[in-house]
Amino acid sequence: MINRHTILALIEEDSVLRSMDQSVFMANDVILKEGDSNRYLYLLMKGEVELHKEGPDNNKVHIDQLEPGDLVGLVSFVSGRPALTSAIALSEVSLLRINHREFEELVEGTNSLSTLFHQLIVDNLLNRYQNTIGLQMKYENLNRQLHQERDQLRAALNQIEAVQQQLVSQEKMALLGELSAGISHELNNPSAALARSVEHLNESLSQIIVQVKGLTSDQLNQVLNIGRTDKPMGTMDVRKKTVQLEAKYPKLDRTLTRKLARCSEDARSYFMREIPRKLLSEAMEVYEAGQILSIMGESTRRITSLVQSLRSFIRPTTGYETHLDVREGLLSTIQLLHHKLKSHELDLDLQDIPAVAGNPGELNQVWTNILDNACDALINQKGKITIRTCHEKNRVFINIINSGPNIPDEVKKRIFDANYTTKNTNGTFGLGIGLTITKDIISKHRGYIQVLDAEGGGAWFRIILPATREKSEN
Amino acid sequence: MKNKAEIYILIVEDEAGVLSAIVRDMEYFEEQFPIEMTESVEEARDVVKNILDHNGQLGLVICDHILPGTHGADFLVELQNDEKTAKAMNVLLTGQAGLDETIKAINEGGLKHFIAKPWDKDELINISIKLLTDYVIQNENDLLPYMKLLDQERIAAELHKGSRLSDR
Repeated sequence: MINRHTILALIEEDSVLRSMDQSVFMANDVILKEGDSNRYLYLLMKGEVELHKEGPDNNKVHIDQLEPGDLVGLVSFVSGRPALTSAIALSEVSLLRINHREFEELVEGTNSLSTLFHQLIVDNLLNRYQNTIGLQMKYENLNRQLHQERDQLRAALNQIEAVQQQLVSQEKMALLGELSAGISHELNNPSAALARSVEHLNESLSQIIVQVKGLTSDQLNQVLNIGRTDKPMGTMDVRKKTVQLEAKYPKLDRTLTRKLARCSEDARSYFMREIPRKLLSEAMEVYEAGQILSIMGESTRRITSLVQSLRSFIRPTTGYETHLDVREGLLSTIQLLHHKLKSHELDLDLQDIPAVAGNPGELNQVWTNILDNACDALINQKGKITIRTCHEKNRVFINIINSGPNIPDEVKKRIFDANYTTKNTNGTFGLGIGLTITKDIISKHRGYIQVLDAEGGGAWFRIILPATREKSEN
Repeated sequence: MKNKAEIYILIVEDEAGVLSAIVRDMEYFEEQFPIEMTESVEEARDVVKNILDHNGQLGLVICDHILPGTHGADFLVELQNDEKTAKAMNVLLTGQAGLDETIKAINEGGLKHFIAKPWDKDELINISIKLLTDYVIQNENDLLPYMKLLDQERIAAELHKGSRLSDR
């Protein structure tokens, strides 16, 4: 290939070309404007020219920088189409301006000048072709890099989601650990009652079989039924009644008097009216067998419903339901926290609310966190916890208010931050991310949580969730 | 309340079903030791006051730990620190008291016995026999009537020490 500079030098020598128009442009002058038609082909003799194209945001995209020996406007000149790019002088430039007639003469001629010119055109086209290949390679590389970066970002996002999910379940397990002592107590009570009742019923049945001789089968049936359904009196009423019965029936033995005092008014009047005095202790044994059955039934129900609450709490975090009644989750959370809540006055005002969409297990985690915190805020005092649900248009409000100390404003600002806890001193083993996760879960449900001062003092957590979109049943 | 200076058994348990079960197990003592059932510490305080006001004695307290308001262990400490009730024997009957609370009840409340729920009837009766026997030996002059329900051997041994034998 012939060196460009040699060609230019030869061209400068040539008398024909020297007779052509020489154009001189100053820096920043427009030689050719993008979109305009072009009647000339320019050969850059001196100086530098920049080609640029208008980008999508009216920005100038740099295309190429031309040096002496390069042709300017070749494509638009040959094809007759509007210029693809604008050519701007970067410094003072001088160009040879060739019109169509001159161009044809040059191309069709057979002299040495034409040969040089041909070589110049081929060299220009080769240059551009090389540039195109380079650009294509660059484009491929960029594209690959973009893909890689996108994959990395996607992996990072997945990782963040996995970590987040892990944190949610870790916090849930920590919370569960904290609750487990209480839950085991809650299970232990009915299971103790159940275990004792089985034994008592055993004894009672043996005694009934041996002792009960005077009662008719009708009476037996009735007394057993009364025992099964009777709601015994509270201990304070039992004491008052015992005093009355002792005065009225001084001959009854102490145990029988106490048992009669514990019966409901209806059951007691049935005994005194229908059962002969000397058969009273037989009848009481039968009544007690019924009572034991009722305690067994109640204990079984409590164990079952506690296990259900527990199950809904530890439900995998993937379950998503479109029609959730928030109140069910609140009630089962109350049951799980009964051992802590029962030290306080609980004011429940659960008004009818539209359904929300979400993950019941995660929402239960929210209620558990806030109620558990409320109990901790009321430690060593008998306080009041208010839970109120209501709704306004398509929004469901859940308010959880405790009568503990006000939360200072500087704590309010940070209360949802990760690792912010005020609980370390109490030896609880939360991760300090309970409220952070609470907030995350609520955001995930397209809701939000606020912490406010309750009227008359205390902390007020307000959670607002969007109702499921459609006409609600109420 | 009877005029006689009777020795009372006080049971504190807030769950009706559990309370019924305890009382039924404790019926064994009832012909000699009146049983008082209460559902909270608040109520138990009233009952204790009433017993003392009527010249009764508080012999044994069986108390749950997790109660609304005041906890069982704290109530036992409270009874122990009051000279009028300091002599009373006590059992903490619970499935939940943590180690700290149990230690507190032992160190400060002179906790005599701890029974875990669910309990065994024989265990509850035997512990109660032992504690009530302790109580009558420490506080009663006439031990003979208690031989029927309480620890006969220990009461007999006590009687044979001579000075305690009633000559009436």
